[in-house]
Amino acid sequence: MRNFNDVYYKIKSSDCSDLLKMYKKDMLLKIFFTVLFIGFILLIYNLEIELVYKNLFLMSSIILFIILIRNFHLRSYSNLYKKYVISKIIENFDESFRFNPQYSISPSTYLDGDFEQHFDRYHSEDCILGKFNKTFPFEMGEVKTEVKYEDYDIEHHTLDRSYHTLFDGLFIKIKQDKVIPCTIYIRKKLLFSKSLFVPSNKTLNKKNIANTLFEEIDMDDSDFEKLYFVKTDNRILTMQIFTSSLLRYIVDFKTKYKIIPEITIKKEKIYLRFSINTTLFEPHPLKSPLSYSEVQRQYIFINSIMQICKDLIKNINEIEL
Amino acid sequence: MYIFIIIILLILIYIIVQYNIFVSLKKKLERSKSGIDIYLSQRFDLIPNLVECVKQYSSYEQSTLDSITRNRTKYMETKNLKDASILNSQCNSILLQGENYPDLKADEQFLYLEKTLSKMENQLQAAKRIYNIDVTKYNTYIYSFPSSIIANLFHFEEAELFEAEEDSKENPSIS
Repeated sequence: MRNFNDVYYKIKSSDCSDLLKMYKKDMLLKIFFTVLFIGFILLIYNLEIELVYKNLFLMSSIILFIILIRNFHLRSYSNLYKKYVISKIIENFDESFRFNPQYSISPSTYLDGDFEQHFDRYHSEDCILGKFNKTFPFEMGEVKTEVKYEDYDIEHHTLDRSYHTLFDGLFIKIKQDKVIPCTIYIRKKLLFSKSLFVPSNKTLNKKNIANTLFEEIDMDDSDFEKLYFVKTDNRILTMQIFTSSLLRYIVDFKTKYKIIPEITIKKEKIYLRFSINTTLFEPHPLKSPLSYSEVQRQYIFINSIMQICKDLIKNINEIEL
Repeated sequence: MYIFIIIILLILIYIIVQYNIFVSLKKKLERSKSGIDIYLSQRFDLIPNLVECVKQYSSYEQSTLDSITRNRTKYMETKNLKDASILNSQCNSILLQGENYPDLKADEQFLYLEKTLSKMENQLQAAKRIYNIDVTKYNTYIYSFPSSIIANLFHFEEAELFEAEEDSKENPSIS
């Protein structure tokens, strides 16, 4: 694996003229919409409406406009950014890694991680496939799951239907070659209770496994304990895999990125998910896609995620069964 | 009058609940400790084989080997954690003899024992961590208020943490 400066040099020295053209086009469009919006604001301001309502409307419009302009990117610009920048960063971690914006993680793979029991809508894109450490099949991609809520009247007619996001972020699956004879769930603590923990009784009863097989255990890092609860059917193996240094790394990751990773280990498969509510691997709304700080931001984030995967695999490999 | 009875009942219920919490924490602690005992016993059962193996190839002092055998017998009787720590570090020092005696290191029996003991050591470290977590939780409950009142009332005493062996506290020298 090369260091960041080498990766940055490689990205910069490649022919990115298409990407820079699209960046300029994207910025021009943003400037155009900003000018239109300013004209709209001035128009509203000159109307004869009560000042209070005018100010309220203007404030909410400005906030909405800022949110939209931050998240707005031309689709072609995003795709080129992923092709020229993201894929180069990812390929640096392993020669076998390939970035496939069109490929998606299958719903069955996602469900196998036992993060959720059920969803009504599923979407996945921007997949990275390859072999971790040149050996273990590796899949990483963006996943979004939603659940449907419906309101009915007395005659059971649907009055309203809405979708609530269950998860929006990064999902990883690694299949390593050592079969660990246990299942481990690391889940973030929720505000109200662990009743939202999956697998709940429904999943376990479906598979006819007694709930008592999984006990909740404490870990020896107080910051980790504040963020997570751990359920497993083998305390010793869990402690061997989740060493003090790995627990500390996960806590530091959360402190730095405000993202709490969740982990499932089932026999030889490792599943991780990172709930990130902004779009991943998207260019900065204003900065150049090839700016040093911007590329470094993506590199450090991907590197931190890979480090968690590496540490897990290393600890599992060190266990003698 | 009724209020007074309700208050007494509430206090009694509180005492019962707290007592049961202490009992479950203590039982959890005992379970963790027995986990360590199991791994230690498994490890120490291999000591006679290890001593025999080392005797054949090295000029390791007979008195040291005898001391290890005696400590093992003592631990099997007392199941004391401190005795276990001493014995564990003696066991590790014998394994290190492999570095000084190439013939010993090449011996199949020694290699098998080394691998098995190393595996057990890793499991033991994990068991110790679990034990220390349970002890910390139990001790914290003993010292926290108002559960400390119940602890004093029913004589629940602080448990000992499993400390690192003396030789592992020193940084190994590279020479």
